[in-house]
Amino acid sequence: MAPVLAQAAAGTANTAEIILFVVFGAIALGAGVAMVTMRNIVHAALMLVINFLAIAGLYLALQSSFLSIIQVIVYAGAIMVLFLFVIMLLGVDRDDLLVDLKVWHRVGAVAGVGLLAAALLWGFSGTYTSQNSRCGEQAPATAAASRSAQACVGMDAALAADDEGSVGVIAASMFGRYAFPFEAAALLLTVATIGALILGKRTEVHQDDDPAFEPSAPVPTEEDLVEAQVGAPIDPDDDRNPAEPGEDV
Amino acid sequence: MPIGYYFALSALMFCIGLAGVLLRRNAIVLFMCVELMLNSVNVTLAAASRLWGGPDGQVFVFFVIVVAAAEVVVGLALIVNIFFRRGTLDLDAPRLLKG
Amino acid sequence: MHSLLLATEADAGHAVNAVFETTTGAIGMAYLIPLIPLVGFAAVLVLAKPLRERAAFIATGASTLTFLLSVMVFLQVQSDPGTHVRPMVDWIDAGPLQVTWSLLVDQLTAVMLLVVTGVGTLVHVYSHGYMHGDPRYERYFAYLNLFLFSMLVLVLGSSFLVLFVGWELVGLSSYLLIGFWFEKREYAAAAKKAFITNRVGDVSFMVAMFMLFAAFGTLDLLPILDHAGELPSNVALAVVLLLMGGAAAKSAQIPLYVWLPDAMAGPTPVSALIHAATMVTAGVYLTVRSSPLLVQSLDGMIVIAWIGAATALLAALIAIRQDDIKKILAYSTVSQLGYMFVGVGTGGFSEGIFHLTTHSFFKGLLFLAAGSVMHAMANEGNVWRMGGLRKVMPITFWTSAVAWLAISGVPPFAGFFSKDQILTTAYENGFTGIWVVGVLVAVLTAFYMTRWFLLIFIGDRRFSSDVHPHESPTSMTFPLLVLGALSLVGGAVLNLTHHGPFYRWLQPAVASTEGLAFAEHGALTEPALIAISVVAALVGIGASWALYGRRDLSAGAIAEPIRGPIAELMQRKFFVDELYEAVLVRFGGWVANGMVWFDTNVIDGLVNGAGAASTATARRVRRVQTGLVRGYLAGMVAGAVILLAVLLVQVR
Repeated sequence: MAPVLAQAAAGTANTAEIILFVVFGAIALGAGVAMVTMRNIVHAALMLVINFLAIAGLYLALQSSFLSIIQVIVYAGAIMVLFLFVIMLLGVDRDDLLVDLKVWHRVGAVAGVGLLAAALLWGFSGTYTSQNSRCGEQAPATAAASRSAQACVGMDAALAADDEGSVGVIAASMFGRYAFPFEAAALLLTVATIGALILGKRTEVHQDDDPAFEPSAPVPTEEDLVEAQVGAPIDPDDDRNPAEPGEDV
Repeated sequence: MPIGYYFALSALMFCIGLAGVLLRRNAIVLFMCVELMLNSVNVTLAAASRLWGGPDGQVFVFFVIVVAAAEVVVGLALIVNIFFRRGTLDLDAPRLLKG
Repeated sequence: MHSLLLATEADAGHAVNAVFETTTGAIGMAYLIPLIPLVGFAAVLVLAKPLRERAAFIATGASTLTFLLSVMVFLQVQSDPGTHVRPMVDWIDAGPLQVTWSLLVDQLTAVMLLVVTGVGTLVHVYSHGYMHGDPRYERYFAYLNLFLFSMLVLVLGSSFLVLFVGWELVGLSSYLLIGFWFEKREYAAAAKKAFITNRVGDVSFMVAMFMLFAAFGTLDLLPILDHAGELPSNVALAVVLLLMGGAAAKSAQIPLYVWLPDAMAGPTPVSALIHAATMVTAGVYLTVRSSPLLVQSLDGMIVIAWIGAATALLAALIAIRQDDIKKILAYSTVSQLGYMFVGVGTGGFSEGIFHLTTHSFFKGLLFLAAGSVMHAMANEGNVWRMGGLRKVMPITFWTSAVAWLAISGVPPFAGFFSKDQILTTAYENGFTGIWVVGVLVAVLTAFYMTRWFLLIFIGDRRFSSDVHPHESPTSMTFPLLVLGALSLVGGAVLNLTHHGPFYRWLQPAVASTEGLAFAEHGALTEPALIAISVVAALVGIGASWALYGRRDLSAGAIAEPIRGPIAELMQRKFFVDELYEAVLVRFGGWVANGMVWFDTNVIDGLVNGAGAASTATARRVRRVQTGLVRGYLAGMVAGAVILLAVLLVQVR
């Protein structure tokens, strides 16, 4: 970070980008950690929403405005809404009791993942984190890319070539070179929709076709599910539904 | 700012999502962690698009988002189905593949 | 058409056969001789259901047809003496081993053909009466035809291998026929015993064939016999002894004779055909056919002669104290076969064949007569429960008398000539010891056969009054009459003097003993030898008459005059069977159990162990499959991490 701040102080770095990166990066990481560790599922989903929004900001820092809008609309606006709907539908908005309790599982997972992170960071460092890798107008005069210092071309040239901005750049590529994958993606969405329709049909509770079924928490019965779906049964003594005066309930 | 910083950030996000996949037992939460991992990859792709100066990476991100959407739809439908059959979202419960 | 294939040197005084390749005349059709019984066998089996008893006529017809063909072949051989080779299809063509199905017809073959088909046809006719009413009547006749086919293949083969095929098939037919009434366990056991004992001999025969092939590069009779002189003497000795090993099993000599007395479990016509006239003579035929090989090893011939003599003596001693009508005849057969091998071993090849021929007459007759008696006495076999049957069964009585005198060696019946000529040859070739044994056996033979005859036909009835013996039907008495006539005049007609017509006719087909270094013979002249033979026969008959003909034997078996420990030994067959059982069978069982243990524990253990090992390994390894989704995820992550590490290291 020190070189970055020094650059910021020297005015040679793009300050806007740095600020965007730092802020949104921190939010994204924090939200990610929160989501992974939270026990309340709804809260976890909301943390994920924040994560997505932060990533949208990162896209802005990366000079891909189209992507950031798409991220907000599709991911944060549709996919997470779908998640939340399902959570509500299944009635598991209560605390998630299903957390791995075995210590060595946790330790092992964290240690392994930490190793992976270290490996990845080590892999990315050097070639892409040298000073030569700064993008756009920060690129040094010597644009020759070497193995140890990959030069970043930046989106300015591409964006300048197209009057429409980043949407036009992407559109030109998508409907030109990547037209076939585009159509295939459309077909994929259709298939997924139909599949979801079919899969969404309700079936009764079956536990005996899996002889090794081992739930850690007691499995809710049909009545529990009904109760979960439609909410608590109407309790005449409940204050939320007060009886009309004079009615005998 | 060197482009590698974005790569580092997305690597960290990927690892966080991976830890969540390994640690959480609830099917929905696990699915959300997978989404986190996908997003980290998206960030990597977008940064790479900037690195090489072309729209290809961003187009790739677009497609990843489309596929992720489709996958979420089908996956959640499956999860709903499983929940109604088994009554629980515990991923450690079904042991049909136990051999 | 025939051409001279091989012109061989003729020894002075010993004619040698010229070799022809013949495809015309009766010899050209000689392949039909074995083929007709084979077709008969199949036809009887196939037509047994629709035709029932009448199917037997197919078999008898086939046998008669074959006999007529054999007569025609004989006539052609007589008009055209020599070794005729009838070429047929190729069989084996495997590099150095070339075998064809060709037929070899010479004087020896003609004799064997006549004996086999002649006695065979008579037995077929006899069986119509004897086996009448048997539930498997048709199958019996099918087996008889199968046997004829086998024996004819044996006799006609021009190669040792073809002979061996017939040899084995004869063993099979014998097994089928001995065990014909396999419902009784002892009978089935007797059939197995015959087959297995023959198998032992077959191994010996096979090794002999291997050695012959190694020495000559072929298994065809003609090349081997023509070049027999090229064998080194130790190889010749080995081959001769091994061939004798095979012959000893088939012809019931020491030590492999034990199956023949038990083989009396089969129907009596079977005993007459197989165990008197044909199958047991296959060993004699083999050795005589291989006579050019035999004369290469005088030591081998001496061994053969002594085996024959010892067997003859042992069997005669046992026969003296047997009480079953067929057992006596069985041991008698073993004894007479010993005589034939004495003939073969002392250089009297033609004499051996002559005795084979006459023996088929009178022994066949004796067995058929025994069958006739048993048929009349409701299958009673113990001679002590017979007696006085001459009054009720005249034809059987008179024909049996002829056979009795023939086998006892009384002139002018058939057996006298053949037996005497064998003994004369033995004496003249210097085998004095064997001659003495032979004379002793002649005495014993006359003795026990007279005993047989007396106990059955002469004297008072020793059976209960509810048994009504009667003469047998014509189908059974006709063969008796034919054989009786042959036993009466056959010997004199065929070979009145030592070098009579039969001898001279057969000479070119057997080897010459000119060059063999026989010992010096004693001073007795031929008339003296003849006289001694006659005296021996009369002594035997007289002694038996004194013991059995003039006493009151109505008390039954207790009246047996020959007693004492030696007599007990004789009656118990000298415990040979028990000895074999204790030593060989038990040892064999021990080895077999060891093999079973090895197979079950080691081999099966290996195979099952492989399976068990893989199952045990799988049981451990499959714990990896926990069924936990997250476990699989963790595995995938681990794999991805490893790949990533590899990539990074390579890139950096």
